[in-house]
Amino acid sequence: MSSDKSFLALRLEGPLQSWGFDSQYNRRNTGLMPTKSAIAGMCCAALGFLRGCDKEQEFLVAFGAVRMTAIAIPRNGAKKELPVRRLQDYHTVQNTRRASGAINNDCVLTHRQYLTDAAFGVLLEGDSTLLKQIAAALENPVWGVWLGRKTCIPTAPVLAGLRENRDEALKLLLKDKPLESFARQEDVESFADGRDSLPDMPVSFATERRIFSPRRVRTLQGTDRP
Amino acid sequence: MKHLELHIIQSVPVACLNRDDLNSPKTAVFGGVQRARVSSQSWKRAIREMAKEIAAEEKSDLFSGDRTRRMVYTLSTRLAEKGITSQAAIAIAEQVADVVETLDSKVDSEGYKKIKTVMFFSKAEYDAIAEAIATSDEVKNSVEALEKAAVEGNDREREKALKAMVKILEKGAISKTIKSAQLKDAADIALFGRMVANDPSLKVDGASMFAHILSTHKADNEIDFFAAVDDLNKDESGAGMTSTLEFNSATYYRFAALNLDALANDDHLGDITLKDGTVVRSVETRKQVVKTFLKAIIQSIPSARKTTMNGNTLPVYVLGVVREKGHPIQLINAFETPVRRSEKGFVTESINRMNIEYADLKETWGVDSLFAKAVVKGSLKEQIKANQGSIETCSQDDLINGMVAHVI
Repeated sequence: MSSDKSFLALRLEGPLQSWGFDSQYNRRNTGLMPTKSAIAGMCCAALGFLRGCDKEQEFLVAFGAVRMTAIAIPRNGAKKELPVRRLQDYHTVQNTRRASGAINNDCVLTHRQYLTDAAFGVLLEGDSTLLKQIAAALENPVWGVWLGRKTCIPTAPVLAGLRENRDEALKLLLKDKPLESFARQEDVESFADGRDSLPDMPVSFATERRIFSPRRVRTLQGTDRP
Repeated sequence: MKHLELHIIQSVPVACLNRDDLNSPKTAVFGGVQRARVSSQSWKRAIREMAKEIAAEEKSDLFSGDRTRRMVYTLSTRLAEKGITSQAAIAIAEQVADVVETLDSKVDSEGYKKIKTVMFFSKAEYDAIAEAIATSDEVKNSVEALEKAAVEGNDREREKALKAMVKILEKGAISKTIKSAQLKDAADIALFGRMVANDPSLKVDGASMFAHILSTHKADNEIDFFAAVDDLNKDESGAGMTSTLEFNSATYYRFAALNLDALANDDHLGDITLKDGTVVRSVETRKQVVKTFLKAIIQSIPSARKTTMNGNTLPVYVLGVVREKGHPIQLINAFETPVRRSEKGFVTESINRMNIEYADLKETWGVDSLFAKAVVKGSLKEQIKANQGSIETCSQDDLINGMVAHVI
């Protein structure tokens, strides 16, 4: 392994989380795993990049090469592991527009989904310089950091740590349990290695022109933990 | 990011502060157990309204952002004050409104055109736009041409002058004016944000952060069966009508944070000093804004169903924290294992656990603070002493002033 590669561990803990990858407008769903666009957005906010600025463009190109693994880490309740559920929030908005551009005098109903009782670890592996920059920014971000939606405030610092070694970085998130025992979703190098494509690799976060490209991933079920 | 956080424990009796599409109070599962929930958007609105009220009482115009469709009326009045004849003023205001938004065909009761959606602009922004327009030579020339055409009754010349005006008042120029405006009274926009679909450059990301509010304990919704008596009915003894309402009672954990660095940048409430040395906006302005904001967070409550189930209470415990760096972190994990009913009620246990969680954050993750003080309901002081740790208790004024002192 070359020495210019590092491993950044992120901890995503909070009562409500929302990781949307396929929804806009009235129904804003959440997937079951953190998306790469959410993590990239979190990094851009921490670094203080304005939406759609040149630095953001440069960053997103570099971030595309970073390999991400999202790991579902079950939370322990008093007696057993807590099941993760989806919460559907009923949210009303006034003074919106119709497709024709006309003002809509009716109250619009929107539905926003959240995951409850979820916790994730995210492992980013890639260029040391880039990850060092991200780690420093997450330690003291310029703007707020949240779990997919502004109202999803974390309950612990998101930055778990930067390591030179993959196992050590994983240890920050999983303690001594093997990665294989957890459900996880990882970026793959070739199309054939993947099982699914998610439209969540951000190309631009510019407000008027948000663009995402597909990301090839593989989702693996966890074996029973020892 | 230098930021401040408020962590609040508050008991609300029989109420339905925020309901879903079935008229049931909102809930969420946390720690595997159902909790009462009030969405962040709901309580935020209450805070905005309260901040306006407080600012009005203090005769401050810092929270005077209004959402309105009467942009043409507002702007043309200001232009007229700057000496532009009212006919030209209306023509200009219509052009500006059309650039920022789409003009509606409908007019208001006084005959002014309205824009198609409500826009959140502050008084100072309107003044700044009016000032920029009134002092621009290009606009002056075009206004003269417009007035001349109006006097002569020459419609073709009038059209030509209007077209020239449109060119001057292009989208970029208007938004630039608004951005460079002395946004002295746009505190609510800076704090809560603004979305403008037509012109993304006017978008402001709010500097504050709120979480959904959850009960610290298991909470079930209850059903109130009610019967209304028909006062004039003398024939039958039954009720005039019967129905049901859903409600719950809960002790809530509330969280709010404010990014002080962001508040002080140019997109929000950064310093502005005019060329002649007049200070339009400074750290003193921001202190005043934060003071009102904190007070509003502490004292506000959603007004839903206030005539039948008035849930208007004040917090029993407010922990105020200022941190030099890192990102805001909520203390809700103190209640992941739900608080159980006991002889002391939910409040004492909730406060104790929150104080322990605060200390844990520091011990486990090294999350440090510059300032941490708490306001406690008087009669509870003794009961929670054991778990206060390093947190000093004080009055509401001391807490707010203590936090405001860290505003940059």
